[in-house]
Amino acid sequence: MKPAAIISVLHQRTFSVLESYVRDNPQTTVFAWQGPEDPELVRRIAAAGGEMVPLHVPLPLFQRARLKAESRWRLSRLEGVLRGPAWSRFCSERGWPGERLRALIGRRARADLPVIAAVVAALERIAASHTVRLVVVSEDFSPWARAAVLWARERGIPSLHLSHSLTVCEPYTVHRRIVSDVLAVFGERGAEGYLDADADAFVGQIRLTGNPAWDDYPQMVSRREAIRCGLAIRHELPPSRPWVVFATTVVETQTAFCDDGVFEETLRAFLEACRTLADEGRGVEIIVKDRPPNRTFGSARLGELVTELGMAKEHIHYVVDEMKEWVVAADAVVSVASNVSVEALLAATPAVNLVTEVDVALTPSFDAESGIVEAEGHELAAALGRILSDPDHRVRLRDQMRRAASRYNLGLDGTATTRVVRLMEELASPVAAEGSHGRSAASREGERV
Amino acid sequence: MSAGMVDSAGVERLKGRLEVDLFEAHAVGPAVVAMGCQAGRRSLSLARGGLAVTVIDGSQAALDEVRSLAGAVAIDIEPGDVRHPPVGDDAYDSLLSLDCTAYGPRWLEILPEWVRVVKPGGRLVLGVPSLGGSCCGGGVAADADGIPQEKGGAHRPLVTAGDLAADADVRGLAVLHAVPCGVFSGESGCGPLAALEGKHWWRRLLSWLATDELLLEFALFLEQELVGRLSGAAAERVMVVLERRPDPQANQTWLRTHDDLQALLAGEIALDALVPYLRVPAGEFRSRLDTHLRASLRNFAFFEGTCRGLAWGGAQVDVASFLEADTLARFEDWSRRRRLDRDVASQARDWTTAPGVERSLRLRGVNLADALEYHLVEDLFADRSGSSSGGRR
Repeated sequence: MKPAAIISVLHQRTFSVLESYVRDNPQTTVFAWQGPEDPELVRRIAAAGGEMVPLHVPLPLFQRARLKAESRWRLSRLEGVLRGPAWSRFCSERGWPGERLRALIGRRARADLPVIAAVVAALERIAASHTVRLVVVSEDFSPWARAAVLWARERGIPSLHLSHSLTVCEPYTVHRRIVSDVLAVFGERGAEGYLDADADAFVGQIRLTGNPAWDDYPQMVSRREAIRCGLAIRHELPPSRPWVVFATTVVETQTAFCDDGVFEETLRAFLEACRTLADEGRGVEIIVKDRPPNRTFGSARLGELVTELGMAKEHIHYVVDEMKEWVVAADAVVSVASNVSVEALLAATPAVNLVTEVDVALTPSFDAESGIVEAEGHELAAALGRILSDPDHRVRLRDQMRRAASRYNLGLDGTATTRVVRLMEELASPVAAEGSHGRSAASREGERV
Repeated sequence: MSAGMVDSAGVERLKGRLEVDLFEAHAVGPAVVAMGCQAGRRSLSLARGGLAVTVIDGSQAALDEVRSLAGAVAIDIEPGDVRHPPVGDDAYDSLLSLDCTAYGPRWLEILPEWVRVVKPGGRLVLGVPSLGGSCCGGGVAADADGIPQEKGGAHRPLVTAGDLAADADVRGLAVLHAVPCGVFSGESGCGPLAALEGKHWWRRLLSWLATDELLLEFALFLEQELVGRLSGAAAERVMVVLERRPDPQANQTWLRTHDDLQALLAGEIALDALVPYLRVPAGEFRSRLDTHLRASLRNFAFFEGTCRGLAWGGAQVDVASFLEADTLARFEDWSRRRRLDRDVASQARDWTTAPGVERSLRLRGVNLADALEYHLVEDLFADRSGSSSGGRR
């Protein structure tokens, strides 16, 4: 009997499920796209009784050469197909710009195909030595995760897409289908976009589990003061002044509603609101929480905006880490159609969704009963001012958030990891039944929508 | 899923405002009778304004609730069967009922008893199902025997505008208005916004009617100044206003106007064609609409969503005729982007089904082309926008 394995194309924030899964299923090897580069995670998986190894290991020279040759051969066949009359006819029937598409597809295939083929080849090698029980991914639309899920389907291996984030807007373009056998979403709210897109098609594939990455919120909320003190010391913030955290946003590149200027426009709107508050004598500590990859650019752009707006720099802080800590410790959190608002909701920290045109066009992120305040840029100062100055308002918002929380994240008990691991175990092929097809989605148990 | 959906406080608020506004606009005289507690709750505003309101309902619990809501406001509570109200003839100036079909699908049958209790010259303001059309925009779901059916059944009006005019003639009534009402609060699956009813995003949007004054005022504007001016088939619910005085000629005039409007709902609806029926000239209507649309992004999304979901029978709404140039440009820009999303998604996904593609890119049974979708979508958008990166992450 071959040893058991699972394939992971999970993102870092949900690695807890791998550790728990291995603890419940010792002797499992986790072949992971991300994770093996982290010695601490590798150690924890080993301590749990399993092993974590890279999914994609460098191949011996001759195998690499063979893969390369095969890719070249496939690309050349594809090029031939895209230059043929059948392609022209196919595009013409659909009113597509065949020539333009041919160029774009050819370029994309040359860039991605060798890596995708290498992933499939790696999975084949793994299957030769292990019984692969499950493929679990964070985003089954990303190329490498998609390749793994398609490969799993072909071999009858079950696949699970564990949502990377709660889809607050309607799923658009690539997000609009579920390729994995099962999609685990955090709560009913996370299923809504898919059900709106095609309830009949998706309802049987969706399970509610809660988000493992948010399991520590209940415990963190109970240490709110200590966390605030720690941040105050580390970042030299006065604990007595209100802290308003702004989580920056990214450009959505997968939709025509993409707004290239959204990072700067929303940051500017936030800073202007804070300046208004200061002008009214209600100064706050301004914390701009950016993403780590933005560190250089974001810090510089913030500095430019602060200068341009004539604001004092002493109360403005640029940070890129400890998102959860900031959410728990803040007096108010501002973000843009973001899961940060949901995290604030779970922590019962007053939150403002800064509404942009893209946000409303891609369907509203939040409802009036969520407790999350919505404000356009010109309304933000007033919204923040009321949150910071009206204790009754804060109490009302927190009450609403507590009532709404389970709709956003099932359980609220810090046990989403356990639920996801149970789902993984339920889906996983039996070790003995190598190569057999996984159970059908319809016959599986679990938290149904 | 329904248990987890956002509640309907927003829609209820809109509905309440619409109904109260209608009552206040059309009730006459100091003595008002509300048939059923739902009407009783809404008519409390009339009582607060000094009118003498009597509420009749068969449920003591419901009456107790109305009394509790009334607080210090003086109202008269009468337990009794609303189909045979326990009051004398010619007792009231106005009669209000929000849902006549609660007392039988053929609601005209209940009218004689209600007309009896209204004074000559008095008014009946009645909430009834759509008066015309079929399926979208028309009527309750009913089988051939007129028995109301579950959602999705065949739809036909049990009482048409013609039936109403004829019945009014017989009973010595004048039909004053049939105001389509509650286009945003439909839930029967047969109204003009039926396509949106089950959508979670739409419910999230409507939930803001509970707290967003700009959105509430905008929804009221659309209901009262546009939908409410159309025929009795423009919404799944209509508030009919009858006066107790015989006027067959006026009833025929009303019916002709109703039929003209009904014909409008079968063709292309442009603002200019509606002008004879609106309260304000086209320019003023357009300007007021524009003010609402500029008031907030949520208002614009509400309007755009409404336009996407709206189906008035076979009518095509000429949205452009309603909008100022700048607002129209934004509307068309959103439409263009939605089309682009659809086209790009389709191209990035479906090119893999072109003849020969899968055979070229199949490896160990896996169609590798399918894994190109994500980046190809980015490429297609970047190509259309002329940007090399498609955006900054």
